[in-house]
Amino acid sequence: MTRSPIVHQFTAVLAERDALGRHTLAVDDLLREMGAQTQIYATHVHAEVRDRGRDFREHPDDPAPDLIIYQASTGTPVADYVASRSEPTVLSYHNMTPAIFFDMWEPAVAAELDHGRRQLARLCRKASSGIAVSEYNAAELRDLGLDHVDVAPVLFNPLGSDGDAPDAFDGATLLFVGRVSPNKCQQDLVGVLVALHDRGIAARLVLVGGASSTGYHDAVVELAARMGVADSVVFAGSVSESELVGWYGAADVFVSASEHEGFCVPVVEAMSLGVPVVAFGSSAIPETVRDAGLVLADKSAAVMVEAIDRVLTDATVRDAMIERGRARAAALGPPASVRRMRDVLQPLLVGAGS
Amino acid sequence: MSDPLSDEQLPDDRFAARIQAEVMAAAEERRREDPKLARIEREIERAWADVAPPGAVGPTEELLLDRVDRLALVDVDAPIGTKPGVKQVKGAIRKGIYWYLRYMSDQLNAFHNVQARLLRRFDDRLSRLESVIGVDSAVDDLVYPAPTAGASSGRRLADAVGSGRVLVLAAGAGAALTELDNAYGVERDPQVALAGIDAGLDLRVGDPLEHLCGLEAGTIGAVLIGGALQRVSPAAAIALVASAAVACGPGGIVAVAVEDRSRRADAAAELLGDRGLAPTTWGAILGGVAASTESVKVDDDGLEALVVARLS
Repeated sequence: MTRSPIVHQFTAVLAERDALGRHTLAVDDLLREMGAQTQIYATHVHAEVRDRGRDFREHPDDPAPDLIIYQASTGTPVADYVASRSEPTVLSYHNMTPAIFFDMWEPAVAAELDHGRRQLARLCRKASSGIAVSEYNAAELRDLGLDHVDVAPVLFNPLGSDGDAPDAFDGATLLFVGRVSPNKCQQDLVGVLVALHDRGIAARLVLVGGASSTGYHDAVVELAARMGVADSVVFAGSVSESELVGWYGAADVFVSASEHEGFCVPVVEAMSLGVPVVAFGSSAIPETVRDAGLVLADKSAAVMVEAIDRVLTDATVRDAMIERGRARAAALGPPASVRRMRDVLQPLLVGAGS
Repeated sequence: MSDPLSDEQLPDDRFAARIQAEVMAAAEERRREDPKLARIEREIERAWADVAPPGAVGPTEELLLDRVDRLALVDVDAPIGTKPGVKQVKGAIRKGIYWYLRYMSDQLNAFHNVQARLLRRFDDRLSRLESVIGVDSAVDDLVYPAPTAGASSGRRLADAVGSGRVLVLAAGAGAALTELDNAYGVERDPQVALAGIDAGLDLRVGDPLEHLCGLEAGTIGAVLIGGALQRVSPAAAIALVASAAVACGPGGIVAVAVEDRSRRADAAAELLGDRGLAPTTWGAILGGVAASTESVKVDDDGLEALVVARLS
């Protein structure tokens, strides 16, 4: 009788409220369901998931695993530790924001991201295979020399349909969900709002998400004030799940001008809740959205406004986008995403257990 | 704006492509007709530049060069820890490390600074070149559109191509696609592409070169180059053919729909001069990557020949 393989996952921070944390926990659940003995290690484990993860510095005292899965997303001492281990390692890649976005806003964050990229290159030489959440991410790993990379979407739990309805608004609500961060380019969305107002379209912009850079956040606030749209921009910050569902419910269009996304869970959430998507087609966005939204090659205010106006006023387009969006979200979310992840993990467990 | 076709009439991937093309075309038209829109866009850019830190706003190339400049300098003040210890020992270690790092970093800094200066000079030179060869939009109207591969080119290529997928670059309204079974086109101008999309062709709006370079090696059966792309310089033509050959892989086909320069309108003839290559020159360039090349006459408007190369 063969014993259950021992699989240890490593990640920078384990938290229930971020996409990486939820993915790591979901992979852990899946591995257990598949018969593995599992444990998650991180530099910091948030209180709400204290029973699910341990400090990675305790790992040397634990029984050695048959397989290590490292969830890579930023520069962290965990990566150096994983690189020093001799067990077979699988690199699960969620992408790292290129440091150039943070250089002038948060040099310390930029340095951390640079460090993360160097660690990634080193781990690509050590890892036996990779799991990427998108083809876009897989291409980065292959460029770094990791030949065997499987693609499996991010695991996340679909949002419920009941949420806290925000205050009513007499006009169109444009929603973006994601951290207020230089790579997400919220300033471009403020520009779009200005152009919409100029065209006589009543609209507000709702930005949900905490700030990755307070300097950047303040600059976006200042831009909105200078352009005379401060009253029409809602900085909702980090919100609870029911508030998030409420904002999706109030949204007429999900808009994104982001220049770097490794997958973009909020786009999938928007599609699943019937919110049409208008997005700049950078990085993994075209792959995630495909034909289920308006993915634009140009994010100038003129083009974005035209696209938003089209979705707001053309019922045929709007209905088609909503219908296709729901179908696309179903293809990327559970149970399809869990099945795909299981297919990817199965041969790894067989190899680890043999 | 015409009504979108229903799902039954338009396959999935074409519906979104069509709406996107319509949006791009409408935005272009509005920008032309409403100067206020361009003014607002400039105002937003200026306001953002005012509130963002210096160096955070600008073309990506400039930001990258700034980054090269900053990273070029290696700091010799290495951190050696702050934990309490024997002061004299720490001091000696610090001096030793400082001496060695300074020795190393002086050399590295000199090397990096030369590299950074070289990059800046390349950038300046590239900017000058771009300003020399760049044509403004008023001139564009006189020299474009360049003739694109039409039905005759499509038929000729269909004879040579097997079952592989065909990519038509700078496809115009997609006339060549009508004669090819398994083909799609990429066209930069949304207004032009829209006519083909309306006709149900698999035509995408985007930069043809970016699209070509984004393809994985060996994933396309044939590449047909036409439109403004066949007016490139000889060096760019060689690079273009090489990229197409990579996308096709061994046994694939690269074809060029070559403009008949003698049939250019007077203004275009004068403004473009000799720009563009003759079929024989394209044949020679294609010969560099192909086992065989053939030049065939085509009846498409403004075209002289279709040069077809089968890759070795």
